[in-house]
Amino acid sequence: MNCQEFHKMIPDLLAGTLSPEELSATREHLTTCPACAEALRTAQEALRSVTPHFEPSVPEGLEAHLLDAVHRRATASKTPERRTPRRRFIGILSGVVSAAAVVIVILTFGLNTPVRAARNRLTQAITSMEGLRSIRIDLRIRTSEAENFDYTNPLEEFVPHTIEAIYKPQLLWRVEKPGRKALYDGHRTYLWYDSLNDGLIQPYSPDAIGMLNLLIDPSQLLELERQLTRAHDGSRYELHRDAETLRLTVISPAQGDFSQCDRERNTSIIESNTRREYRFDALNGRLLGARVVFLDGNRERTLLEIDRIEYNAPIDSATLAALPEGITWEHPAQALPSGRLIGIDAKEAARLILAAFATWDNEIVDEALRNYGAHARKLLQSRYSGATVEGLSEPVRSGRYPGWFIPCTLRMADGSREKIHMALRNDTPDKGWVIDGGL
Amino acid sequence: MTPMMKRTDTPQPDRIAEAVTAYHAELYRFAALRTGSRSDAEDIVQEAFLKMLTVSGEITHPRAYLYRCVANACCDLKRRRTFHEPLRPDQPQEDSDPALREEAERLAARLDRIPPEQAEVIRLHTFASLRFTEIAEILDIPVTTVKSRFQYGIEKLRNWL
Repeated sequence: MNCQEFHKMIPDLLAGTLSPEELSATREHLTTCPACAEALRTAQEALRSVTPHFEPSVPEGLEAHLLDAVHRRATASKTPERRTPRRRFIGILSGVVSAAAVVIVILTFGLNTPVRAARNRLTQAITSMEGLRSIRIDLRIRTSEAENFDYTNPLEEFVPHTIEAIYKPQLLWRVEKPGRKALYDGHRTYLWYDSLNDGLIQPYSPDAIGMLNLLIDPSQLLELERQLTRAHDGSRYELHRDAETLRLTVISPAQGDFSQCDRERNTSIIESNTRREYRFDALNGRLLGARVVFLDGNRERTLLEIDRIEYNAPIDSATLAALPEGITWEHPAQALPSGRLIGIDAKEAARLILAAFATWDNEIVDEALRNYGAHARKLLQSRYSGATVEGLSEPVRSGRYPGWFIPCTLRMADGSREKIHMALRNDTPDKGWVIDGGL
Repeated sequence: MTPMMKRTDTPQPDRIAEAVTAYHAELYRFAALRTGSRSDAEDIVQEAFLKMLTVSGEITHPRAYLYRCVANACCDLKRRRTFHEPLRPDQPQEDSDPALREEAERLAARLDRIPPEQAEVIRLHTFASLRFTEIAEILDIPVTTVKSRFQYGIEKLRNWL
């Protein structure tokens, strides 16, 4: 073996894949060639320098978690009609109430370590973001495309979202993800669903975009975090700094009451145990990015990640406020209630609504389904018309959801049996019960 | 269509479940060393298995397919993070495992100095203990190319020692 042949053998020699004969030949060559011996030694050293010093441990339960995710996705793709997301429409009709609830719930977070530093950092960031003209944010959230903007699920894939806002001379915003979009044109809020061509027109309703309302002007989010730092109830804070970046981490437990039912646990960021990571520009103080990680024992999963924030982005107000063609728009806030779903409890409301399904009594059904667009109501009519109630359980509450869940068993028109968890709420302006999802 | 797939039936969830059991641990370790983040590693590995469900054909070499998905996702993540926020070894990132982050940064600091295609071959060998034939399958290149990339990469690394 000569030196050239030896050099060709080095990869296999390092990888231990030489045959016994080849190995013997290389050894023989090494005894007579100090240059090749030195080349091999340094190559081994180079390889060691890029070989991990340890094997990362695999989280307990990862296999089960992955099997569950595969099973759920496989089941969902086989029966797409069952995957129809539960439309919660949280806050569409009760923006003010829900916005206040968000503030209160977030205020109940707290902290124990470097509170003052975290608070100062947030104050600086809020100040640095004064006087902005516009913003564009690209982010990804583990959610489903058609569900409400609050919904998160660690088992879902990332869905891309964009947020655009113009602050001056008047607030305008647009939030989009595949399947669901919303905009505020300075007068009214429009929310629409591409797949159904249904749209809802509301007075100013920031809750149509759920938690993403906090990102229309990120200083709102930081202001809430700043208020949290005074709550002292167990959230943990960490602050790291280097030359260019400052990072604030907040670890917070899930919020909400799950004593009656676990249904809503881990279905939104606030109803999950999370670690929220904020990155700030150390020079100008502005928020550079953020990430929310779902925490479950020793497992972690990114729920939300902001990929890009563009301050003072050139956004055309006409394009931002442009409405799509072909949408059937409705004004649920202008619907006149019949009064038959007012002044009764959730179970009675469920019983009345389900009884109306059997004959598809439009007076009650349309009132109960006023948060659903025309096309969605038609789909529901074809599905539930003629269904009768076989069982109705006691309503339960879960998490932070302001309404009730009512487990029901229905005998469908085709004779099949279906179990649903109807979500009903009556925090509407007229206090009438509306179906908020579960169908 | 890649050589790893042939048009037959839709992949059976059972076969994917078998792949989860067989490969999840090694894929997770690879992704964790590559990203330095346990949560990113979990995300990437889950996406790889879920992606198998969308393939309309039998995946004849599931391990190679999964490694390719994971390696690509790690590259994408790194590119995204680097573009928006340069990563440096001295830049702390909140994650639950500082030792892992440190080790990933140590490895990246060395491997980022050599051409990416050479670094990837070396990474698949040293992080995942894969043989050259297996790496060839994952990267869909001849074994001779794998060896030459490995050799050139090691030579460049030697110069940095």
